[in-house]
Amino acid sequence: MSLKQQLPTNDTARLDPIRVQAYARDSGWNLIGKTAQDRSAIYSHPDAETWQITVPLSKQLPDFPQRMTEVVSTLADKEKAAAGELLQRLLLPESDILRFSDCGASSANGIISLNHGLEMLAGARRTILAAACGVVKPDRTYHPRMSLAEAEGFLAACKLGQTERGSFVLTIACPLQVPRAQSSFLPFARDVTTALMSALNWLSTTVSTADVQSPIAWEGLGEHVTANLCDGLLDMMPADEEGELVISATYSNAIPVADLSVPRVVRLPGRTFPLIAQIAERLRPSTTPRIQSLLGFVETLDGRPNEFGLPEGPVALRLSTSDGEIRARIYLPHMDHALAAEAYLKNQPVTLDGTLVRSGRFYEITSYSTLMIFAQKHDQVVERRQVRAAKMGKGRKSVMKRRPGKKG
Amino acid sequence: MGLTLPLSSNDVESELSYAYLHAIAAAADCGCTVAGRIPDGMGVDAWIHVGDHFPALGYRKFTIEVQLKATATPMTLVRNRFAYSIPIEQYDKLRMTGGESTTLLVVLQLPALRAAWCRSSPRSLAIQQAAYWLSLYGAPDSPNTTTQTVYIPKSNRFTPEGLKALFPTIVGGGKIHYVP
Repeated sequence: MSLKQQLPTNDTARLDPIRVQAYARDSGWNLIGKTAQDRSAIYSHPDAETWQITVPLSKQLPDFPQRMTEVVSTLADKEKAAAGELLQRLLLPESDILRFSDCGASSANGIISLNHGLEMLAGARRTILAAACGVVKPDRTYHPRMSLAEAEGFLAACKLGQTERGSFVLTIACPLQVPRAQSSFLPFARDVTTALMSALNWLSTTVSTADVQSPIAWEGLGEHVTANLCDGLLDMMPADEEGELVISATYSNAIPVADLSVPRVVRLPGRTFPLIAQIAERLRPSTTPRIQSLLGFVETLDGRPNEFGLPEGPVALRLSTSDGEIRARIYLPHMDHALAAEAYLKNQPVTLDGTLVRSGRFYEITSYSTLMIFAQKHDQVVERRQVRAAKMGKGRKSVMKRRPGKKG
Repeated sequence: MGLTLPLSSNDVESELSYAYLHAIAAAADCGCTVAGRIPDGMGVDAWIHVGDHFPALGYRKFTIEVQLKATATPMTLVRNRFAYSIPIEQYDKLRMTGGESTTLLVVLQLPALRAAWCRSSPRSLAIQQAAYWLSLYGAPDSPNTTTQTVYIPKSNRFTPEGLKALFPTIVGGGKIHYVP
């Protein structure tokens, strides 16, 4: 027993002895006895008698947190895992755990920008939902709305764990107990996690052997690979070009993974993301980009002075969409650039009509019209309504006046 | 500017008590881990990890918790027991009952003269003088508010053999009760 990693006792105090024992049994530990007055259960591992844990059976025991610390440390030692990670896992219901790690120089200390953190969360959510939709409708390469009830229900049951150290790591638990629509031997969560990891494995293999400069080609699309899944990955594109997105799955020991070809870790280097974007575009049904009304805040103004010394050029917007917040770039001539600057300084949202096209991690607004500051637009709308109401009032009066006349 | 010592006398006393504990545990074929800040808040400075074969039980692993103390002030001997004063909060933690663990208070008695605490020669390394152990399990509640004097039997010298002699009682679920 090393106890090299000390665990917070306020966390070990929350562990459920039944859950810990079930985990130990599923990991191959055998019950060999109990201590006096059945205070604790003693388990040993068949690998060697020196592997032994004493699980306290009641939270009322005054040294329960300390004994659980020993148990978790020993279980982790046996699995050559981090005790902190195992503790977090044991605090969650029986689940498959997915980890999304941004590994790069800028995230080496475990900290990333708030914006990138939000993008990672959105990307992880989208990726898992895409995999869940893929399990429900396996024949599709694109889910227009990703609003399948079973997939959404599963996503609602997923839990966001504490972030972990060693780069920036998002931890998401996919509980095995989520009920599924069709009877199946395996829990829905297991189908989702294995589908996700298999799809990622196909993507990783395909993009690692492709030429970045050439259009990507493949023979036999990987199962469960969808444009939505690729979109989710693009949201999580590493902050550093030299970095990589590492996605790993820890499958619950309660149900062993029968298919040994399902990977546990998939690495996607930052340089491969343009290829993932290509795959996403190929999988998305070709539709004419449609003009839509957009609303969002100006995030950065990157314009440069034109020949008259007036700034114009790219502007980054954070748009609110039905899929959550997205970042989009737009090129603005100097008049609209000035309007965007005004909105930025006043911290007011802008509205516009435009065509939104995905471009790697970001979106581009390729053509647009009627860029306005929302407050001004609101004022205009109110004004227009008032004018219309006034006109309608006049009209009503005239109708009222006319009707008797018509009848008469 | 005068020469400043990197460690205070209290720090040196503490380090020597850890060294003493490690030496005794190792000689008794046990592992020993120094506790950090969180377990110390629970009244634990170190853990002794025991793994041994016991008749009727087979191989068993368990842990003994240790609260370490050191003093260079000679402890008063009262009816073959050393009187030693500890803070009341630690007394209350050490006397707690109902748990699975066994917690020992180990007090290292050092010579009054600091230069005599640790001596080395080509033949030996010696920490002077001796440590004594005490279990406060089930000790009575104290009306005191700051400290409580406890009495450590002179026979409880902390030795490898003495430590090993405790194992059968602990593994059998027995408790080492304090006799006030």
